[in-house]
Amino acid sequence: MLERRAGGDWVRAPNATAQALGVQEGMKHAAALARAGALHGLRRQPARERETLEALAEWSLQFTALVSLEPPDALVLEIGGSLRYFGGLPALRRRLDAGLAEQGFTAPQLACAPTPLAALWQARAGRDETVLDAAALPEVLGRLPVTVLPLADKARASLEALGLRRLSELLALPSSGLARRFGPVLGQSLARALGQAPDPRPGFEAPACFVRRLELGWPASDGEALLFLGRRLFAELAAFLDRRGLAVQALCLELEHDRDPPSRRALGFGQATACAQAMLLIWREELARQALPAPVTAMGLRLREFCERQAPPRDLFDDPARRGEPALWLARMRTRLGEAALGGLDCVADHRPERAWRRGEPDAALPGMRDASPNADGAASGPAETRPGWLLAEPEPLPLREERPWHGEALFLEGRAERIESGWWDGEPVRRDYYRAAGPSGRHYWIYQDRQSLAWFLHGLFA
Amino acid sequence: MSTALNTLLQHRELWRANRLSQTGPATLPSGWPALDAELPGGGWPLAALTELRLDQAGVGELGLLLPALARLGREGRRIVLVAPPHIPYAPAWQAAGVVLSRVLWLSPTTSRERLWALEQSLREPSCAAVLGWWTGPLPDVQCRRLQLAANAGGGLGFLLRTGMTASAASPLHLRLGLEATPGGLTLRLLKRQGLPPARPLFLNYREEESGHALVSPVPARPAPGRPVARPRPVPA
Repeated sequence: MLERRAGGDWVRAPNATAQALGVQEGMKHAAALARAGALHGLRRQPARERETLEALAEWSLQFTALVSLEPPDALVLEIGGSLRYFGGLPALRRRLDAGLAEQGFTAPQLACAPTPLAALWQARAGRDETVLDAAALPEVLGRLPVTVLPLADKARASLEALGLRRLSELLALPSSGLARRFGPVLGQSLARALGQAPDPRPGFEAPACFVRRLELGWPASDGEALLFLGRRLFAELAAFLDRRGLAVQALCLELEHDRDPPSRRALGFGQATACAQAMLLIWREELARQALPAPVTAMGLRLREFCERQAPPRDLFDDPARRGEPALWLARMRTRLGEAALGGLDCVADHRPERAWRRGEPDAALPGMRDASPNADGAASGPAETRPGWLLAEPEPLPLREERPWHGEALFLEGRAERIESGWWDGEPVRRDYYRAAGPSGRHYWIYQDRQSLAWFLHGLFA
Repeated sequence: MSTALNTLLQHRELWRANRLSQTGPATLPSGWPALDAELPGGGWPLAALTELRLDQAGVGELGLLLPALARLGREGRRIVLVAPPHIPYAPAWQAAGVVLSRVLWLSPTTSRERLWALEQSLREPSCAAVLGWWTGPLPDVQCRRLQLAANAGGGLGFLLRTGMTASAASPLHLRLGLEATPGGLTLRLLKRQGLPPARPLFLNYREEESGHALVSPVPARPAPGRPVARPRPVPA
């Protein structure tokens, strides 16, 4: 990582390989290149860092109402009021650790102290220590190096010149002398850190829309990488929705590619949801259904419209595991199989058999939907008990053998013909005599003779 | 043993570990009393996948299943059809008592998607009955996957298979062979858990309309019908 400051580029956060070659934090880029010629420097992006920090602040709003930003790299959470709700400090800590790991923040520095500045300095110094007693603060803070103080480079240098390494040495000095030498800010900070002065801070306020863009460091074309991005994105979205009591029914992901224009993928959840797991399931099906047109470099999501969360009434003795999630299930089917592969069953008032049915709305099968469709009486579709359970998509012409229609076996007509003559008004007239026919095997067929051509057709199977 | 202890042991809320529960596997009546008598637990097993083997569609498989589906539909439960071989003809299904608005019809295009849809539907507790159609061989691994999914979902599961011999083994616990017979359907219980295979069962669809299933010897075929009506010229 390179940072541009006065006098050129400086190395920040070299990785383990670079460190092994002797590249160190704070080294000049040229010096680093002298030690490791193949050094690959990445430009530091302060705006992106700020975005990430704000996203994280937003996520942490689920733990407390008061989160303040400490740019460039820290957040301060007031957790005193939340401990009881989350079941104590260790439990809260576990949730934080798990949540951070899920979002891909490896090895975050966490510290807990009675004052914001004490916690911040502890974390910056890499001390994962929990201090709960304000009286212990001078001792604990005294062990910290002076580099945690928010000082300009010049002041830092003069502290070093004075031989001051630890805060304890600084605290031992008379405060008037410190104020004269370093200005009032240092003394004020120390007093705030020790809890001797109040430390009011502006709380972070989350924006009202959800805009997020996650970048992959390399173009990826495999589903795993996109699932990983989705997991992060949806975790943030779910936290965002949780805090506001909102939900989403559908969303549109924007995938950025290396050269091609960005492509969009719409996800529908079938119901208003705020569950990251549900979104991820749908995303998984979407990825399985349709291959990526090109490797993806980044994934973005903008949401401005939300719906209120609906909490379905529950029985006291209801077992949610047995009830299932019909809407989510249906949404997954729709995503993976495509809209055309889903249908319901419905009757249509038409005498023509091939028009007496239609694929209904699949949503009608959801519990809570209205029971009967308008055409459900089926009165016009003829005597229903004479209709077969299976209808052939296309009537199959039947050959005649010894003057009997033949379909793998000779067909014997049963009962009387049912004349269906209809449709002359819309250009698809039918004039047919329908019979129930049986074969020696015991199978029953629904066949008709076209009155015009006198040819026989198989139209259905009684099953 | 002291009387106090005896009294305590008689307590109705005390369960002793050496006693087995009286209730067998959860089942749903098939609507065919004669068949229920032969099925373990007295009906179609819940949370399990039942295999029905037929040589081709249209032997009477719907007549066998529709009573149970109608019952589920009346209770407002969802019924899923995965890749039926023909169009489920809505007027007939409705006449059989199936609540049409409860039926969902999935038509996946590839066999992989078909298996996926079947497995996911079996796994979903809100799907009370899942009927899947499959032609040709199905690896045992897939069968077991489907069986596990049905265990998790808890609904009725039916796998209707065509294009295989009746004797081919499969890991599913209940397997029935279906064969069209004049006047009804012959059922062979090829495999059932805990009981030996039964003799063939004849379900008489005609008689069944009055609500009673008959177990009778399988009638001898054929039963010729009357000759086909000779086509008459259409009057001009």
